[in-house]
Amino acid sequence: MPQDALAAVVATQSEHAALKWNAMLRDAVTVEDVLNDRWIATPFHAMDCSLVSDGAAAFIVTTEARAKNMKKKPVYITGIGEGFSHQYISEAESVASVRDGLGRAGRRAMEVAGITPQDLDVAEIYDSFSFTPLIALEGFGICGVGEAGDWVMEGNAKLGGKLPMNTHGGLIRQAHLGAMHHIVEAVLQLRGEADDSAKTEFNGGNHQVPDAKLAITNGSGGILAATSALVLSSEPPSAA
Amino acid sequence: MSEKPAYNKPLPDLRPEDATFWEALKEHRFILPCDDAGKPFWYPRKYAPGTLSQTSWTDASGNGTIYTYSTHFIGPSKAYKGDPPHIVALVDLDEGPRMMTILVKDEDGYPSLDPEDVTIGMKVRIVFDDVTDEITMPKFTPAA
Repeated sequence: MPQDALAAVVATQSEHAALKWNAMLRDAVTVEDVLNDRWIATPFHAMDCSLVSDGAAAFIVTTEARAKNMKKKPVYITGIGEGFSHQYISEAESVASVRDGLGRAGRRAMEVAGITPQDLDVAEIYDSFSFTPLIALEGFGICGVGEAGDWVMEGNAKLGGKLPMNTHGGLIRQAHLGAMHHIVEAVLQLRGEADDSAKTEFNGGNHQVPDAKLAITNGSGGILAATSALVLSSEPPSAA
Repeated sequence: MSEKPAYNKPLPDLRPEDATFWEALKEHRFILPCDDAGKPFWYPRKYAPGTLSQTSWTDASGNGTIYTYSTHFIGPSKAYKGDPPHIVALVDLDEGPRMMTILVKDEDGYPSLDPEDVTIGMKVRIVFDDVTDEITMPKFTPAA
């Protein structure tokens, strides 16, 4: 994976975090900024790494019947999947086995939901490091194998792009609360509540994906080891 | 070359299931855990992955090939503060298992190999770094 591709993930998400009212890092950075940042461990500069955060996030999971009586428009879980490839990183067979293992989560979630990657409107992808969403994009089948770097560098993951990704800035720019905020952001997107322009005291901006109906989101644990994914929908699953 | 500094870094938390491994290292012998079919694995533990048989031990050559590596500019704790960059590598041992280790220049386990001297696919061999009277760390250096 070229260094520019990793930096493009950071730059993309920084543009989104600049609009997200509660992101820890609000400044938009360029690919060059990331490449010139101090090293932590190759291939990761400091900006390629997720943040250390204190915070909280919450969502309520309940039945469709109860959700209908609540004030807010519900969002539906229409697909769920899990994937696993190894325990410690020395036990991972190859990049391909890791991609396939964690990718199974997203592929299975979309299979359960009865959708394909082309149907997705927004993707909130676990981003412990800038590399993590790239291997997930390929594993989930959103990009072909070896294509995620170019895909992000071409701007497809930006707001207004083919599939906006980490529209809240993700763990790299908003805050690291596991994957909680990825789910919260996906819910906000599907409800049409991701325009923070009215939050003028926080200099909020509009990071809403217009008319978003289907989102994929995932979380991961271990060293790229265990992943679970959800497909969330603004519409209830069809009776069929 | 600077003198090897006293070791002030974290030490392994020895457990009954890996004591045999560390005792061998102290004698500058490199052994690998293996399952009941004699297949070696990494890392040391009481039961073999897959078969869940009791672990037994086999002598290993200490020779391997670099699968991949990363240059670390900061360490995992304050004990590494001010240290020069070090290289963490995944080494494919000739016996099969892949092991995470540190790459060094010299026989006594110090100093770190320079990043420009590392390539994927490079042959390496084990060196025994006696960091304390009790603990010897397995590290790797380019094969002659």
